[in-house]
Amino acid sequence: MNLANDPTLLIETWLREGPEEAPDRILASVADGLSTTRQERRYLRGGFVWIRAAALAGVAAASLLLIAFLVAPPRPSNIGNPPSPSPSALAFGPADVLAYTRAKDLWVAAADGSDARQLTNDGGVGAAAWSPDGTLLAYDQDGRLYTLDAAGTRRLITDKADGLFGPSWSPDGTQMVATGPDGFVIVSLDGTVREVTQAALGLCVSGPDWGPGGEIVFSGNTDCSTGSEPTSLYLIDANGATPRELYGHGTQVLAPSWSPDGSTIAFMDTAGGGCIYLMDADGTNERRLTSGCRKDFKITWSPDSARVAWAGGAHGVAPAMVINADGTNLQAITGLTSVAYLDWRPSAGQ
Amino acid sequence: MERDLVERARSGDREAFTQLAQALTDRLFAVAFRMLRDGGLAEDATQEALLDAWRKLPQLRELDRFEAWVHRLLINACKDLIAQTRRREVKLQLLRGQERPTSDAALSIEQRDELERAFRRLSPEHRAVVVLRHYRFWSPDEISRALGLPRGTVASRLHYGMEALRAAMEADARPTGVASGGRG
Repeated sequence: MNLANDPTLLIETWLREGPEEAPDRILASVADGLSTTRQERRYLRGGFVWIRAAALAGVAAASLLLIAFLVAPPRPSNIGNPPSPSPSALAFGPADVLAYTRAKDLWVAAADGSDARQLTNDGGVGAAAWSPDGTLLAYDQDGRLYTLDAAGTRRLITDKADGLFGPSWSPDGTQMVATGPDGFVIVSLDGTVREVTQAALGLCVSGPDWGPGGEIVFSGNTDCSTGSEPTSLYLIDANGATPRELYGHGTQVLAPSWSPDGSTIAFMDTAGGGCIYLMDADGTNERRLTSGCRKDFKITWSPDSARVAWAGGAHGVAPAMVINADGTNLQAITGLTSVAYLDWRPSAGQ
Repeated sequence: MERDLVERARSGDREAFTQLAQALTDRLFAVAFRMLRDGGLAEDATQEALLDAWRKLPQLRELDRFEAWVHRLLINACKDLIAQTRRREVKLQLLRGQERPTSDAALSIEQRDELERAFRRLSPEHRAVVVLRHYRFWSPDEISRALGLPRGTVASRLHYGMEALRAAMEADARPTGVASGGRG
């Protein structure tokens, strides 16, 4: 058989090119994750027992337990803590709260990593975002956008858009922008959907973050066809008007995030071994905050714009980290391992 | 040996699961790399599939089909990652020691580029059956059982996926410089 004349053989030859051996770190990461997933299973079993007992005890007993939980939530010290026996865990407990995803489910914990509570248990969750007033959590699950309120009510925002990822709220809390199959999708809480296509923007785009001043920052590249990394940050207004380049000399520019006071944008760029950078909202005063991290993560700010937190990767096992915005006091949030897409609850929700 | 390990792992034996993972990781990673075309994402997918397997092992009924079942979890993890990264597709990241073959290669650079582009245009579902059939050389029936798909669906996805890749190569009708004198 002439190899050059047999497309199937050529395709199989092409498929063989590439690694056959996995890096050792995969097994190390899996070993690290086994203990926590076993904890989850134990706690989930415990949850079922709890539910059964509560049912036997009747509605009155369940109500008492619920009230007790809301008034004095348990504060276990680490991740792997039992998921809340009720979705009303979205009463959120302490004021300083991080939402995040872990093993494709939605969780919240205190900003120091304690008091972790599992909010969903049906998987498929990508990233979550607090509403500006801190009363709702929006998240994507299996490509659709949902909100969860303090009563534990989950609501599908729209069935008119699919393939969505990473919602970010408008400052007035009436809309969200998310990455969609062909650009951005802006979804109103009333279910209205508006697309801002890549063709209209003339860019390959990802990672939109709606700022407190009303502008949306995102990462992008003028060339979508070559599969190249986003190398720039752009701004558009809420109408998706002509994008304005804010930062244009990066290597792999991802995860832009407005500070709550609107003065600063944090983002990731791997240029020069970098990781998280900050710059002023007008694109000036760029400075490196950290170095050497992985892609596919989200940067989030503390409500007072004084600290920045992030997790190691979409499936990273390294603990989430927090650092002062002036570059001091880098710390691991030791309770939060194997988590992704942190989002710090706004102060309005306290 | 595997059935015993699976049985033990299913009952919570972490050491048994680690042995199973050690035996499978290379194969899973290799398949994930072919689907995702990115080493970092392939690591993530492999890790996610193995952790998913640990979590869901109590649900596995056919213990002899552990490897096929984990491949199904891997394909699902790859699909999730493709969905998450579809708008910022990444360049092919060659890991150390896997540089592309050059002078004695059967494929020209142009053909590789065309295949790369065509493959990235395939849906995750089409990528999965192409990789399992033409890289792992599973039979259509094995793919059907592993992915829980009707045999006809596997066949149609294979047909479409391979046609798309062949078409990409047809489009690249330039001489290839292969030993046989190249195409075109």
